[in-house]
Amino acid sequence: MPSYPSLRIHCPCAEPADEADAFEQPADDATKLSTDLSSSAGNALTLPPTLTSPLALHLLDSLYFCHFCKALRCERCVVEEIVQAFCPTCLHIYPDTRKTANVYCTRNCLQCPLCFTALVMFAKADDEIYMQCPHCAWDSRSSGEVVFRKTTSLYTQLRALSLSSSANDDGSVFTADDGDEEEEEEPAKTSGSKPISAAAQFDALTALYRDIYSTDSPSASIKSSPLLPGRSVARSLETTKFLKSYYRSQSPTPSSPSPRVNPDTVLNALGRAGSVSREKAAASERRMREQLVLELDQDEEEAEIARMQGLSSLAQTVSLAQRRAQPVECAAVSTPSRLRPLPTKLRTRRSKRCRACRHILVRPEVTSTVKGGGGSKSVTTPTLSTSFRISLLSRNYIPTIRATHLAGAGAAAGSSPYKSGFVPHTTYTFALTVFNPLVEPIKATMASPPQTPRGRHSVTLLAPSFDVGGNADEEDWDLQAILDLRMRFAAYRTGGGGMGPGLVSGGGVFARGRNWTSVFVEVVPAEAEGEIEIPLFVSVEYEIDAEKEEGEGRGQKEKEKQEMAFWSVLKLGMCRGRAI
Amino acid sequence: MASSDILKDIAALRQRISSSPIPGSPSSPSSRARHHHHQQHASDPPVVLDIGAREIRAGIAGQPGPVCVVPVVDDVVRASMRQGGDGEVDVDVALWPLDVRCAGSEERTRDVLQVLLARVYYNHLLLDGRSRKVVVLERPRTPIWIKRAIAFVLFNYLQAVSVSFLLSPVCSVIAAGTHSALVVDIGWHETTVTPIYDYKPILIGIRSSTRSASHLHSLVSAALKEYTGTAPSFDEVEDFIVRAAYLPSDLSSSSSSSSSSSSAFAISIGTTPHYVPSIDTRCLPVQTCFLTPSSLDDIEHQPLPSLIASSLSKLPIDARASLQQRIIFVGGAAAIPGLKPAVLNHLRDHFPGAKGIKSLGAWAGASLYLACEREQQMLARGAAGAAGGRSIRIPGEIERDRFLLERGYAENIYDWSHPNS
Repeated sequence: MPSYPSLRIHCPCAEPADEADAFEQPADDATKLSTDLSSSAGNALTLPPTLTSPLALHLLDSLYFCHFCKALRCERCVVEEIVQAFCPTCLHIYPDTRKTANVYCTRNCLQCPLCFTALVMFAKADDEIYMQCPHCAWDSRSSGEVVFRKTTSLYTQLRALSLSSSANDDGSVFTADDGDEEEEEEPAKTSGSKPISAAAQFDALTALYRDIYSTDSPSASIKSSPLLPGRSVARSLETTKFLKSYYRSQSPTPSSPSPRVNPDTVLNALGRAGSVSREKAAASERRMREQLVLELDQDEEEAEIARMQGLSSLAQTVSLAQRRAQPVECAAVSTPSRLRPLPTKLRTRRSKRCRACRHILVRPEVTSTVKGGGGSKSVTTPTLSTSFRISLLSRNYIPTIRATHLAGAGAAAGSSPYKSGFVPHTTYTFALTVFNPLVEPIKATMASPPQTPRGRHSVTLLAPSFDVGGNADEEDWDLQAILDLRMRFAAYRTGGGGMGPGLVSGGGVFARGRNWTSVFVEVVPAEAEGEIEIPLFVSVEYEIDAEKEEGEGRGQKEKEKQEMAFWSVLKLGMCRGRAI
Repeated sequence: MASSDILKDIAALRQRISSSPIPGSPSSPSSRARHHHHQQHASDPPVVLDIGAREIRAGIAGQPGPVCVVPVVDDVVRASMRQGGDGEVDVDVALWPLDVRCAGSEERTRDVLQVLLARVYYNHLLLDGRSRKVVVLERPRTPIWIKRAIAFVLFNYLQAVSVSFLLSPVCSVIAAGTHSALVVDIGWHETTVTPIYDYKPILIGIRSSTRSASHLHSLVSAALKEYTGTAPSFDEVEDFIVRAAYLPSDLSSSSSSSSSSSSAFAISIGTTPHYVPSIDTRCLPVQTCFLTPSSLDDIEHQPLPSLIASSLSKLPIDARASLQQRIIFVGGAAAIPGLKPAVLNHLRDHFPGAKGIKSLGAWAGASLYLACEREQQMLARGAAGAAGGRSIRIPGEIERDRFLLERGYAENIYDWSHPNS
C-alpha cells in the first residue's frame, strides 16, 4: 500500500467503448465543475465513471506515453510481446518459447519444493550428488527417490527420473478382462499397490483414443457404416440399436432390390463378423472402449484415510501451493518426504506497444556477443542485458505532481494528519508542486469538483491556472531547488501560515522554481469516514516549434499548440468521521 | 479540450482499432511477416483454460497436466481491489459471486480476469496471446455474462485468435476413458451433478446444491474459531482444509470413543500455535457439509447423496443403469480423502449398483480431445497433400474478427442451446 499522500492517474482505457455517449449525460451538481477553464468551449467537465475503480488508477511510474497518439497508456492498454525468455537463476537466455513450449530452465537450476528457493548442489568425493536449500535446509536425499548421477544437466536427469517412475507404474495400469469371460460392463480395476501417475494414464488414454477413432487403423472397432457416411463416429451400442430399429421401421418398397436392413447386415457394416454373437460383440466392443476406465480404489482411499488419521500436526502435510508445483509426471504427492525438487520457471522480457497506433513504447535491448575466431566459425550467443532501446515513460512527458501538507491541525506540532487522521471541519492547506519534465514551459490548469463525490469534502484550488518553467538543461530536476522548497515548506509551517521571505504572493502560488511551481490547495473534510480522495483534472498546454519543410525558406518558426489532459485522484488519507 | 471530448476520442479510437485486423504499422516493417507468422502458429496446439471461481488452470493442449494453476485471489489482486470499494467477503475471494445479479460484478470479473490472464500468459505460459487459439472450459449452466466477460478479455486485451468453449463435464468424461458418466463437480459456490450420456449432457438431470466448498469453509472457520478462540484468516482456513480435512468411513463410531475424539491436532494461526481436537475440526465439518441432511434443507441445499439420487431418478431408465455405475467426482473439494467412498456408500441405499470411477479431470480431458482432434486433422490434411499453415478447426469456435465486427454475432454465440446460423 503506498503511503499518503499519493496521486494516481486515471487511464481512460477503462471507459467502456460503446458507452461513449454516456458522457453527454448531464451530471448532478456535485460533479459539475464551474467552467473557468480558459480553453474549454463551454462544456462542463464531468467525472469519468470509472474514476474510482481501483484497476483504472495508476502511479505515474507505471504509465507509458504514446508519443504519436499523445496519450497515456497504462499496463492494461498496451499490447505485450515476448522478446526473450531467461532463467532467473542462471541468466541463460532461451530462444523463442512459442514453438518449443518449454517453460523451464533445462540446465542445472532447481527449486526447493518447500520454499521455492534456488537449490545449491553439493558433490561429495564419493560420487554422492545432492541438493540442499539454503533457506529451509531441505535436502534432496530426504525422499530417497531422487538420485543424481552427474553434476550437469540436472533438469534432464530429474525429468528422466519422473518419467521412468511413472513408467514403472504403468505396467500395472489395468488387467483387461479376456474376451471369453463374463460379459458384465465392469470397468477394469487397478491392480498393484502403487498409485498410477496422471501422465501415464494420460498417455494410455491418448493411445486408446487415437486407436479407436483413427480412420486408418485396422483395429478400429467402429468403422463408418453405409448408414452414416463420413467420418467414423463413436456411438454407444444403445444408439446403434435405436438407429437400427429406426431404419427397420422404414420398410422398403417391395420392388426395391436393396437388402433389407436387419441386425446382421448392420453388424456386417460395423465390421463384425456375422457369426459372432451379438452380445459377445457388444460386450467386447464395450470392454475395448472402456479398457482404461479405472474404478475408484477403495484400498487407496482407506490407506489415505489411515494416513490422515495418523497426522498430528499441520507440519506433516503438504500445502496446496507445494502440491501444485510438483511436476505432473509424478504421482500425487501427499507427504513432505516425497517432495521432489522443482524445475525453475523462466521469466520473460517483453516489449510493449500502444494498442491504438501500434507504435512501440518499450523495447528491451537484445544484445549478443560474437565469439570465436573469424571466418565461418564465429558463434553468436545472446547475452542478457537490462537496458531498453526504446522506453517512452510518462514520467518524461507528463508533469509529476506532489502534495505536501502545509497547515492545518497538527502541522506545526509535527504530527502528520496522514497517520492520525483528518479532523472534520478543519481547514487543511496543502501545497501541490508540479514538476515539468518537458523542455518547453507549460501552462498548467487544474480543476476539481468543489465537493468530492465520496464523502463531500470540500476542495478549493487557489490557483486554477499557472505557468511552470521548462527543463532546459539535461538534468532531470533541479535538486538544489527541491531542497530549497523543503526549507520553504518548513518555514511556512513554523511561521504559522504567513508568507515567508521570497514567496510569491497573490495568485495562489506558493513558490516557483526553474521547472516547478507550487500552489495552494485547501481541503475541509466533512464528517465522513474513509479515505479522502480528491479528483483532479490536470490540463497541460505548451507550444512547440512546428517543423517547416525545406522549400519554404521563410525563416519563421510557427508555434504549434499542444495540449494534454488527464484525470487523477489525490489520496490524502483517512478522515476520522465524527469530530471527537 | 473538455475531458468528455478526450474520452470520446479514445472510445472512438478504440472502436476503430479494435475492429481492424492487425495492420502493418510503419515502425515495424516485419509486421506482415509477423501476421503470417501468427497465422502459421494458429495450427499449434491451442491453449486450454479452465477458469473456475477460485482458480485458473492453464496449459497447452497435448500435455498431461496444466502448466500452472493460478489462484484467483492472492495478495496482489487483493491489494489492487481493496483500493476502491467495499465488497462482501464472497466477492473478494471468488471470481464471480454466487448471486449473479450483483451490480458491477461483470466489470469486476472482467478486470480481475484481465490481471490474472495477463499473468498466466506472460509469467507461466510464456506466450503471446495472439499466437494460439484458446479453448475455455465452461459448465452447462454457466451464466452468459461470465462467458461474455471471458471472451471480452481474451479478445480485447490478449488478442486471442479465436475462442471456443467446451463443456467441462464432457471433458471429465473423456478423461475417464468412457463415453457416459455422471459427473459430480464439487466447486466453490455450488456442487453440480451433470449426467453425460454419449458425450452429451442430459439437461433435465442437472442438479445443483449449495453444499460446496464455501459452505465447508464457513463450517471449518466456525469450528476453528470455537476451539482456538481466535478468528483465523481466510487463507489459513483454506490451508487447513486442504491439508488436514478428511472423512473416515466410520465417523460415528469413532466419535463415541473418547480417545480419538480428543486427540489434538497442532495448527498455527498467525504465529501462535494452537491445539484443536482432531475429529471435530477435520472430519465433522466435512460430514455436516456434504452428507448430513438438515431440517433447513431446500431443493438448493441438498446433501450430496440425495442430490445424486434426485438427478439419477430424473433420467430415463436405460441411462440410469449405465450412469450409476460410472460416477465421477471432480472439483477441488472432491480430493478430500474419504469423501467419495462415503458419498457412494450413502448413495447405495437408493441405488445399490452405484460405482465410482476415476477421471484425470476436465483440463486433461480437454487436452486429450484437442490433441487427438488435431492429429486427426493433421493426418487428414497430410493425406490430402495440403501445405502446412492452415489452422485446425475446433468445433464452435469464435473468431476474433467476427467477434469484434459483428455485434449480433457476439451476443448470440454464447448460448449454445440456441443453434446459430
